[in-house]
Amino acid sequence: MENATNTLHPGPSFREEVKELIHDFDFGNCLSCGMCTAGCPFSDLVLGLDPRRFLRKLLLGLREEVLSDPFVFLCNMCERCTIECPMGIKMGSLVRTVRGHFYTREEYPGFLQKVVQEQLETGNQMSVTPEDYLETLDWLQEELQQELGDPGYRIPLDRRDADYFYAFNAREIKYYPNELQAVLKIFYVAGINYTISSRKWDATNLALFTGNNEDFYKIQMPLFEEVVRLGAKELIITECGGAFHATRHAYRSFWKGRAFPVRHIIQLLDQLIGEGRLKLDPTVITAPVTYHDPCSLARKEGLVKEARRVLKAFIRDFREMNPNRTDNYCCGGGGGFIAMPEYSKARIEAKGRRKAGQIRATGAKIVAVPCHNCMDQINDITRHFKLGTSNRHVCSLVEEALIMPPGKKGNTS
Amino acid sequence: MSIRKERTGAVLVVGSGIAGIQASLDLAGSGYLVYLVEQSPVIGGNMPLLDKTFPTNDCSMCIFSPKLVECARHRNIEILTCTELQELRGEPGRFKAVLLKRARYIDPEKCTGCGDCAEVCPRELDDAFNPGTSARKAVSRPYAQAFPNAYVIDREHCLQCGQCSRVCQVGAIDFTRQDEILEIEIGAVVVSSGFELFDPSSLPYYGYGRFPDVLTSFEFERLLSASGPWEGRLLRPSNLQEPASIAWVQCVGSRNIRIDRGYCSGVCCMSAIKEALTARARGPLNLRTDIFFVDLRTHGKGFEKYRVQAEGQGVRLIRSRIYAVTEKEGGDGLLIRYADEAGNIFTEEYDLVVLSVGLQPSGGFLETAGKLGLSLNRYGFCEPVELTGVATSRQGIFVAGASSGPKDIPGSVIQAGAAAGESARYLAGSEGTRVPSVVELSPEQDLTGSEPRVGVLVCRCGSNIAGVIDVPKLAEKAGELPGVVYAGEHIHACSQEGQNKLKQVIREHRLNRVVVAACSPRTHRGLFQETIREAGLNRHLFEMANIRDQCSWVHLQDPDRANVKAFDLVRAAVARAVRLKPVETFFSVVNPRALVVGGGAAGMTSAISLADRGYQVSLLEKTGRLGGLASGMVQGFRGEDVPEFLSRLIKATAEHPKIEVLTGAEIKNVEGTAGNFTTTLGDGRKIRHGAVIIATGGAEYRPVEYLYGQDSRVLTLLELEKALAGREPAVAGAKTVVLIQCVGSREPERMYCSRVCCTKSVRLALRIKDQAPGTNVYVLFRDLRTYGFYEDLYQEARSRGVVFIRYETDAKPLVEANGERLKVTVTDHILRRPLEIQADIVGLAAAAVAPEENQRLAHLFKVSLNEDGFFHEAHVKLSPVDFSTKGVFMAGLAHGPKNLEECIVQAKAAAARAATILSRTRLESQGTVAVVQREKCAACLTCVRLCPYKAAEIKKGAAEIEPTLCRGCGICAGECPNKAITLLNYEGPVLFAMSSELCRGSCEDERV
Repeated sequence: MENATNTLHPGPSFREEVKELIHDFDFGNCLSCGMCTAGCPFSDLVLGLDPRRFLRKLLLGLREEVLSDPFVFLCNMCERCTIECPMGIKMGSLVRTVRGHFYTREEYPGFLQKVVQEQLETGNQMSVTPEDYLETLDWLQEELQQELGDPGYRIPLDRRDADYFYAFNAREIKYYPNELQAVLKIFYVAGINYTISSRKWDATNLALFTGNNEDFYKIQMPLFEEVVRLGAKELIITECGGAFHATRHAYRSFWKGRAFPVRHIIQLLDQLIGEGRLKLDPTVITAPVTYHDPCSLARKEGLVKEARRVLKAFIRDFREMNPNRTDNYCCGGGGGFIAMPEYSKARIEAKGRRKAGQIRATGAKIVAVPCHNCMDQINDITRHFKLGTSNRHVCSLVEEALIMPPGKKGNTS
Repeated sequence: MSIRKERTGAVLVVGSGIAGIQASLDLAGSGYLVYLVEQSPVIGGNMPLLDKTFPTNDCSMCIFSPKLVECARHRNIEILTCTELQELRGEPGRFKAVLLKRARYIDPEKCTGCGDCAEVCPRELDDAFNPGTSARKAVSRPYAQAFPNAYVIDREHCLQCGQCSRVCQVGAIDFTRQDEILEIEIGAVVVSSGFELFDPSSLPYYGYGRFPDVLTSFEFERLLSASGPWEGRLLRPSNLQEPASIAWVQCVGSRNIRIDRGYCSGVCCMSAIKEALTARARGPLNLRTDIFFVDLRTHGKGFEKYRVQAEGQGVRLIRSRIYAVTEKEGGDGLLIRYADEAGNIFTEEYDLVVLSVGLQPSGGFLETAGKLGLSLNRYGFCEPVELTGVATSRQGIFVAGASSGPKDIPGSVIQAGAAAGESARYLAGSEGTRVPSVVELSPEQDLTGSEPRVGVLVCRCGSNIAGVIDVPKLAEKAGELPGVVYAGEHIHACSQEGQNKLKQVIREHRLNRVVVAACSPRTHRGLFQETIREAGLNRHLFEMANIRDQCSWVHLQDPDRANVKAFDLVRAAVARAVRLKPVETFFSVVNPRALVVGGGAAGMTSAISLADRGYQVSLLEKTGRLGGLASGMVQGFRGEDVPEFLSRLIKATAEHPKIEVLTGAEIKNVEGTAGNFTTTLGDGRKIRHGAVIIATGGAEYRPVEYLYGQDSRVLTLLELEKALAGREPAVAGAKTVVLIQCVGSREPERMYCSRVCCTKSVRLALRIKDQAPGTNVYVLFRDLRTYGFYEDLYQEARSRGVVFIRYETDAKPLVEANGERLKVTVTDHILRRPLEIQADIVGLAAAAVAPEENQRLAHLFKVSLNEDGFFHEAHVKLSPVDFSTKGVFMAGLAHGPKNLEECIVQAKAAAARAATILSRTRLESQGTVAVVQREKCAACLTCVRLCPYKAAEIKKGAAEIEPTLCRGCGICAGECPNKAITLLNYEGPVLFAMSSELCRGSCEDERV
């Protein structure tokens, strides 16, 4: 291996350059101990997925080696590798910094930047026009009037001073309006004072994955401004890990306006169940259910207990995956990986193998997945590995088991 | 000049682990009264928990027990168990301490340790000594060899039902006892509060607390120990089956800045290796023993060879921090997933996982330190003031052992000696003022011409003996033995009442020999010997038969044969007793002058320590000036100004009225023994002295590697340090500096770690960064050994951009002169590809080596060197500054590689040890000694060669044994080819008489 082309020439300037971009930890502290390499769920499944090796290149200041390393985009930024890093290094954060500062928008793989661009231009990641959006809501409203047997039912659009501002994912408008319908029904049953916006309603932000903070800021700010404009007390985010983490991350990093809590809808469900405003029938879903902890929820935002409380309120046969909670394996589609079709083989066949095995071992028939991104990936895995499981959002399960209070009709299918 | 106020000749020692005990013994031995305060009911700290100790594999309890006994018996040590410091008032030198002594309920003076109380106690608890693995009662004895040898009531769990107090036959239990407040006067304090273990349940990924087969290192020690839950059988807690594989996980709770434990605990690498070796010896054949580590830190004396030996025996060392311990699907087996440096992922299965947990200050230390007014470091340890080794932020208070930072046993013992020495130095002049005066005993009975009159006292030990042995019958039969004029029984022979009875029967029956048939001489011989001496008999006219441990306890199921054996033992004891002769005590006068060989930092520190305590010191330095190796140093490991320190030290030494500095001095000859040496110098001058400290220092190896000596840009670390300080242009202007570790160390010809180079390199790297922040610094290392708090420096260096690259010995770095610059090529340990560094300066971490003159000194002082040329201590663990030759001590690099601060600590400890001899007016022989019959001696030198204490010498054609040096071990007597040497009271006829009595019994037994 001692040949000239193989020889590396360390130079510290690149390392310093990256170091100056990161303020909340010091990757220079790395001991090269290997805990992260062992912690990456995919380091033994996908060639080149070795966080320590990547960091080592950075420590030695090997600019070319770092920037040509497929690791930069192979990594799901799931943070499992460094959640217990004894030196406090955050690999996901580091990868995001490298992506964001050393690649041009044109260099991002797949359609990552295309989605970002759509968000920048149209305010949502699927370029849904305001007309289409309002039309979809109208249609949903009619559906709900019928389902609820309440001809007076109105979707609270742009309601002022509501307790909750609900923001969601564009695919709920474009592809899965039934998901949104389920949520709106739950809100109706719980009788909460909430609003959705006619202007800014998509909470996703794919600049979380490109790392480009200029784009990230531009996409995120209108949502916060809309919350303030409508005077909502709290921002509730749909079952989308990326949206939830991006919103919270942006809130923590950039938002200087009026303070308000940002919560995931599971946290709201947990509260409503706890308050007795939602009653669930434990006899409806009898099949064994397991729960996938999205990295953005569990590891990055600490959302762990609430999901268990919600599910255990009506699921009789609940089974944990092994490992679970903050130790759970990434689905394999995180970090924008799902938006890079050139890697779909690595994503589904290689990385998917880990999650497939984990799901299979539980024996569950239903997988509760509180994240749109994970949902797409787990659906791909389910097909590829013929798992035969049904993958459901938590809200969809809750809606199925919902007991309609007296006086409210509820036409559950 | 102001008149110095009288200082109090007493010292408070807080904490009774090995450090507290060693400090107490050194102080007590130098005439200071010691209050040894211990929170728990027994003294000893953590050492009794350990199975074996590295690197000698000695049984921990076996080597520690004699110290415990010595401490417990010492007349100048008052042991206060169940006691806490409440307040410290007054000024240094004249402190007043308020102590809270919690009621014990069981009076240790009365308790005989019979165990009747535990028998009836209804409350069962988890055993704290063997946590989670065995049970104990609410009244129990912490462990078999515990001192005080008394049962303890666990106040938290006791039901106060009173059953125990009703069965106690000596009335030792009293529930009406109250806590007491004591006030004591002391001049100084030694803080030795020790450590506790990091609780790994706060790091859930290791599975501790969830999986029964995940243990801490200390729990594993208990599993290995013969006094452990399964009597030393190595079993898995989950299913009591033998494990086929064990993994050790290093750095659990150490080297982790995420949980604010950045420091290295220093001892865990060695203890894991030791545990792996012990497990291999105890466990099944082909036991898999894998140690997962980050850097293997075997930096102590002899440790590197231990590591090599372990690898040779099949201990696998895996360089990887594991991610997690998980359970195998379906249970029964633990899985560890880890990555090797190349990035290959492995998942291995283990039956047991041992977590090498880090050390932290013991619980409550923060509070104690607060009461003492001490400042602590960021981790809560009382780190000593720079270059003092033992001083704290407060005058008159010194620190020793793990409360000053993570430490192994020798480190603690050395520091304890230093703390004792500094306390004594601080209180100099007050020794002997507070200690109990020696009671003059009435002269011993003259036995000349009198027939043996043996008394036999048979102890019932409550029901411990009497439950199995027919005590009245045994006493009756003993009474019929030849020479026996009295035989009787007692419920508890060791109780105060039993002692009084013994004195009474000695008088009444005019006894001149005593046999006690009871328990173990290990715990009780001394007590009975004192009693018979008070009754006017020579201490050696005494013999014990252990009919409890060796009869009633072990043969509980077979009382008939237990009774036969008990009588056998009593007959043998009587057979010896009738032949016993009084042992004369020999004395030699002590010359209170000290000789210190070596005028470096260690030698000067020892000299000043002793001189300040009032002893005359002759300090020999072979070169023309004082200073030694430290003269070349600029910055200490904690950033200290070494030149400034050294010049103060030299001045203090040179100007001290009690120190005579002799430069250019060489030793020609040494004569005499402890207390009375005569050393002749090259100029014929003779120095008479009572003790000697060898502090001959060390040197930096002159490398032949990496172009050293061929290219002026390749320097040793000391040369680099000097060049940096002098801002020499070549160094100051360097853009890139490469430091290469282990140059000449950890190599076949020098299989030891030089201990100091890693930290030194990191220090220099930081200094370079301080002086020229833009300089690139690369450190090429094998294992980075910045133990203890030096780990913080390593972290700082990484954070500030110093690049650390690990190399393998089969692919050492290549240094080539490359025109303008030096080309250094090394393979990166992670990328597995060659890195090429264009360097301006290459620094070599050259080995610390022993001076050649050690050889000659070893010969002159009759001491030994190890194979690396460093002096060989009497015991690696417990006597790290003593030689086996009494009166000779060592300090500094002469003993082995260590840093300046460690040299200073050892120098102070050596001075304290020397003072235990110099402070005495005379030395006395320790009981039975070997005697030579000159007419039989052929002067064959066998005894001279074999004596471990260097007590034998040939004088005027025959061997002579110096009685004050002889410890009565009997090796010479056994080996003397002409049987010219005998050990008094262990002569052939005595032993034959005993064995024939023992044989007679078993022959008769066979006939039954």
